[in-house]
Amino acid sequence: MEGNSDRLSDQELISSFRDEVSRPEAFTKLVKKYQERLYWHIRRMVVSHEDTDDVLQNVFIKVWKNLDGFRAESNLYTWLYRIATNETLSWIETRKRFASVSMDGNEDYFENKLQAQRDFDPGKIEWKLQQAIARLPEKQRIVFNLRYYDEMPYDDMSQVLDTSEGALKASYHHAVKKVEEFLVGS
Amino acid sequence: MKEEIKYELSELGSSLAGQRVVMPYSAPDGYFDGLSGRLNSCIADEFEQDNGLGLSKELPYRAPEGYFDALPGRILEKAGRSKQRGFAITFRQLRWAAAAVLVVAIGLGAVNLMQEGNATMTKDGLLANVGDKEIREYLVSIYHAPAKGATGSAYLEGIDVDTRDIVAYLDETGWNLD
Repeated sequence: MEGNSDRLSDQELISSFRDEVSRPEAFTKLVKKYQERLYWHIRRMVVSHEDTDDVLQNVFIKVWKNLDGFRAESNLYTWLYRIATNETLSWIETRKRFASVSMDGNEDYFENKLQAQRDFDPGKIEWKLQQAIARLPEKQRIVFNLRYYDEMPYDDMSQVLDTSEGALKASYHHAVKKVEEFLVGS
Repeated sequence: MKEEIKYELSELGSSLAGQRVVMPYSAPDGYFDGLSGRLNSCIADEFEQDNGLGLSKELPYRAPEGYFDALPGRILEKAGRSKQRGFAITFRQLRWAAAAVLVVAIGLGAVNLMQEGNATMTKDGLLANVGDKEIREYLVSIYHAPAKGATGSAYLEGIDVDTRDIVAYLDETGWNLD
């Protein structure tokens, strides 16, 4: 997914970030480089823009705090996706706990958020697909989104989710089957 | 869509394989242009400003006059005293420790001696209880047991050996005791 030139500039960004003087500029460049990919990764999970914005800001604040300690054992982009995924799952977990207290179902929450989106049209296949994805368990949703939308190779996904490639393939296959069932049935 | 993803979907029999990937959500206009600026000010708020309450960080408490000037000297004085006390206590404890070690060593030695004695007695006692008949039977069973390894060996196949040959061999080697 990432070419050599991208990886090289990631290394430059990291070393520039480690210098106190160039840190703010390096961070701005890093945000600009990855903001859209991470935004859409989070948005597909939490649906609303406002929630995505909250999670994304937390992600980048964590990046600021921890980039100094980042060791180039993995790609920067898989590390960023990992932070974004964990932050998104934490947000969903908090939301679930709130839902169990308020008796408001988690599935309904995302369904309502979906229907509140501008241009929502349940007759259109792209919205049906989003409805199908919203019904998947969180881990399957992440795997489906990373594979289908981000076209992420399984070995990178394995680093992001700390799961074996075999388990990820199985998870993706299950997700695709469930999505297909929903699309055919609706 | 990458061919690899499309192929995988078609292998799974999904209708998504034949469709264009469309993301129906949209981000507000100009959102990405301003994000890094907002993040930088957010981070500045969190890491570079004061406690966020807009109040002075100065504490209302005061230390006694000259406290910090005298502090190093007082600490050194205390450290010296505790060092001397520490040596006296250690020396007294050392005498007690030596005595304790001696008592434990004597105790262990005595226990060890008793155990050795018991072991010898047990071995002798057991042998005394075995009769001559049993010993004889045991020896006969050992010496008359068929040597499986030799008789079953392929090495002896085709060699014609009878009792007379064996007696002759024993006579030669001086093992025939009859």
